[in-house]
Amino acid sequence: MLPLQTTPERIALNRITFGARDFDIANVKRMGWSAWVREQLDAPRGDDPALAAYLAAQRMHIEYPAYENKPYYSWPAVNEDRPLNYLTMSSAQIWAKTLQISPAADYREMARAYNELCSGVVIRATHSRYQLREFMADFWLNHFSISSAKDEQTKNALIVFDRDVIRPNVFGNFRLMLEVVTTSASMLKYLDNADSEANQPNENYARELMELHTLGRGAYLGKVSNADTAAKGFTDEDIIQASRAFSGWTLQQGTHFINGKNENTGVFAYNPNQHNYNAGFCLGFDLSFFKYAEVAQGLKVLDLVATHPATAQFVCTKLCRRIFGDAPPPAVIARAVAAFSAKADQPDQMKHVLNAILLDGPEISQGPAVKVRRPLERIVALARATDAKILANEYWATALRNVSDVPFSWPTPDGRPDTNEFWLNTATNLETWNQMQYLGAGLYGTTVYFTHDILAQTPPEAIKSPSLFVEYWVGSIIGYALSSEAMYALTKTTEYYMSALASYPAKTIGERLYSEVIAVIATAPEFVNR
Amino acid sequence: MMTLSRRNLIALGAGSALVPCAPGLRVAMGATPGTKNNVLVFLYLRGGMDGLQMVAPADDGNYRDNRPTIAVRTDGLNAGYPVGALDGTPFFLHPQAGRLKLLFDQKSLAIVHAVGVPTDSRSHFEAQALVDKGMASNEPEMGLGWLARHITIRPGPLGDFAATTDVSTGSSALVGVPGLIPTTGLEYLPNTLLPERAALITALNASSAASAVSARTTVKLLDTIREKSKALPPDLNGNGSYSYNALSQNMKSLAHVLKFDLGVEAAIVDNTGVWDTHENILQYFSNAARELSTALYAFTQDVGPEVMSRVTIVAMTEFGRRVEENSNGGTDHGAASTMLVLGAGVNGGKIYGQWPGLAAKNLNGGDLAVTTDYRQVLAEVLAKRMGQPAIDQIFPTIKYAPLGVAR
Repeated sequence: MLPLQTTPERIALNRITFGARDFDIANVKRMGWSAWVREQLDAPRGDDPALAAYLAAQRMHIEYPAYENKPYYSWPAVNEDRPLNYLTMSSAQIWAKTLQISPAADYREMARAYNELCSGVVIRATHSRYQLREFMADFWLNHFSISSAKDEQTKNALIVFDRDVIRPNVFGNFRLMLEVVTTSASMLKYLDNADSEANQPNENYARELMELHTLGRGAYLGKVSNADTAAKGFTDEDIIQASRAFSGWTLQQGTHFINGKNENTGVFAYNPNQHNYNAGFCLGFDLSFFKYAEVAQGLKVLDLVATHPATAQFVCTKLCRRIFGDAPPPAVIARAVAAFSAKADQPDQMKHVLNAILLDGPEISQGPAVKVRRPLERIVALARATDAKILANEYWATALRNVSDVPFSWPTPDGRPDTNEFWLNTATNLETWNQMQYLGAGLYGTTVYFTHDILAQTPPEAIKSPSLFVEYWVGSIIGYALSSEAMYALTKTTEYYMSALASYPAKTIGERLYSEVIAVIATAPEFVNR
Repeated sequence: MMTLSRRNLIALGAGSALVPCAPGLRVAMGATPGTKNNVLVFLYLRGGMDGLQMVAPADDGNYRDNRPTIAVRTDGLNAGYPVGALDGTPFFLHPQAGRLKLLFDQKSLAIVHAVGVPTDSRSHFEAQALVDKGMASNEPEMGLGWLARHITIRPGPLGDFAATTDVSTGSSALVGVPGLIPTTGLEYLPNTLLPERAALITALNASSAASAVSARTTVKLLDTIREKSKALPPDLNGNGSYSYNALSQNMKSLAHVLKFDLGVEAAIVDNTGVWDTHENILQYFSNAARELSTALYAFTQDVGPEVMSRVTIVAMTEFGRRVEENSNGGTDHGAASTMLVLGAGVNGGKIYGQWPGLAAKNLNGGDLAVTTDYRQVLAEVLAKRMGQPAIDQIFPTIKYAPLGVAR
């Protein structure tokens, strides 16, 4: 018999992972919550060995015809299952490789790096044992939202942004994270700072840094600074001064001579010729103090925004909303803000913040579970609950575009809205229901993006018994019984398909039951809300 | 060999009685659909549409001097269509907007000039966000989008499918409207959720959780459309001669939604990626103007006179462009632009607003000055066409003073 309600372990795990499995719940019960959290926070850098092996074994299909237009571009036909080569290339290799193929290659080669990245993101979310790191990577990638549609350089460098900029710092120091984000190729291109010039510095990055990444829109005080503004928030004047401080922060991108060399490597560079030396008071600090100290002005701006009280409030509240939903408990936010501020100079500042949220109070395991899972979260959680496998496939770079839940697809730098309301509408409902239904066969054209073997997992006595089948899978996916009406409706549907499919091969039966029963269980509010 | 498809499975004997529903939850036809209500379509020309190309003061010496290579002319090559004068200055509709000229001559289309957002911001993102919220710079933050505010406080009951938008673009003027439905592809949706599956989903979503309510609304919408589809001709594309560009396809989808008569009263259509004409405006703007002109005309033909007697379309952009052309044969971000108001209840065939002139002393830092706040136009349409008595709650910072563009 299924339990009638959820458990504290399940509530807590679902809030900070891509979906609690029975295995995880058993682990928490065995180790205790705080030991589980500490193991997650102390995860060694990089993918766990099983995940690394899984990624290395992935092959993603690529196929296109030969093209010949001498003396311009020519290439041979390609039809192969290729490893995810981009994911392990260095930043310099990716930059050089994408320069080399663009535009003298089939468009499928030019989309390859991004397609590999999207597959990598979904595979890690599903199969990583370090789920808290995945949860936080997802949070920070949306906090520092970058749209792959900006240009080729922004897009291809996102592999580095995800792997080397965000992931190593998810539990780290916020000030350090700001610096690596600010100097990353993707962010420098995306918000135009790479092309900022001394005579009229581009204000785009300085504005979004304050408005979206640190102090927050609520701390924007309008045009003019005065004696009070620096303590409360930021003004247009602060933005202008910061944009001067960041002018000259650019990339070696083949457009300018920097220190006598014009190189195209995608590496961060400071170009003194494009630095505007007129920065004055920014957030109450006189930047002219560092006038001739090269990048010191920009670094000082990062210090100022990272330690501003509004930043602690903004970032911590946002994180708590991601974990708890639209109305996080005020006590949790208060603890997080206190830890963020007290540990601002610690290399593991965010670990302290997460400890404060997850361990220093009882809220994390208290219901109700009211946070709506995004479409991608639902698919990943269903994959985890059914022990399915995500395979590298172009599908993951396209499938959920219509509901704005493909990685790096949000068009503007504010990131996807993190409110229940945004995700509850007909377009999102229907698209998500359909995509979950398609998981049964897991085919994108002729290539496979999702595999499962539900019949092998189903207890033998439940394979022929509709009610036991439903009970087993509601247990795996939800963890406790749905209403008796819902259980009855699911049982009748299962009964119908079991009988209609009786003469079909086992593979077909498994696929259809996945589409028609299991994927529908995942439309229940008990699954949609975590 | 028989392949196993959904259709075959249903043919195997699974009638609609396949799955019993939770008691009382079999979706009923909503009361709202079939109301033949008025509709506001907000067409968002994102990217900064150059109002001085769309409706050009082509006979003005300052205009010709500032735009020596790109100006719309009064005759000869690149001659615009004369559309009358504003404050003594004659105006010419862009030469590629011939079908808009037809609508103008039929008194269906009105033009508002030197209109825009009161802001110094020249950032697309910021200015667009201001328009979404119905704000100007340095005003108190409004919680919902302006169109959402209108729908949630207007008198009368709120239908299940009050508003439609292309949800993937991030337009936020409608965020917060319960029952927001997608425009794009709606005509295909009923086929992707068969009744048996919909009934099962309904049975699982019987609770009062917000996600369950939303799921039931979705199922109900699809049922409604499926029902409505039976009464409509199978080919819904019979009338309009749309082009194959994004705007035309979006207008075609919207036409489908309106033909279903679901009770939709507000729609947002985004026209992106074509108006940010920093270079080669002669080519790029001409393409964009032609697309706009043909899409709007095809839409009016497609939905037909009955629907058009209820639909008012307002087209606007986040800002216009610099008066002086740049070195790349384009124009950079500026201030005022034009708005187009088209359809039911529009006092068309006329240009509205106040013309500030293009003499250097009249410009705002090189830009056409904003003499009409865009919210005056939106307010007038809301008040006169959409039954909104509380304009002061939608746009609390303006003093409502209708231009006479609608009746």
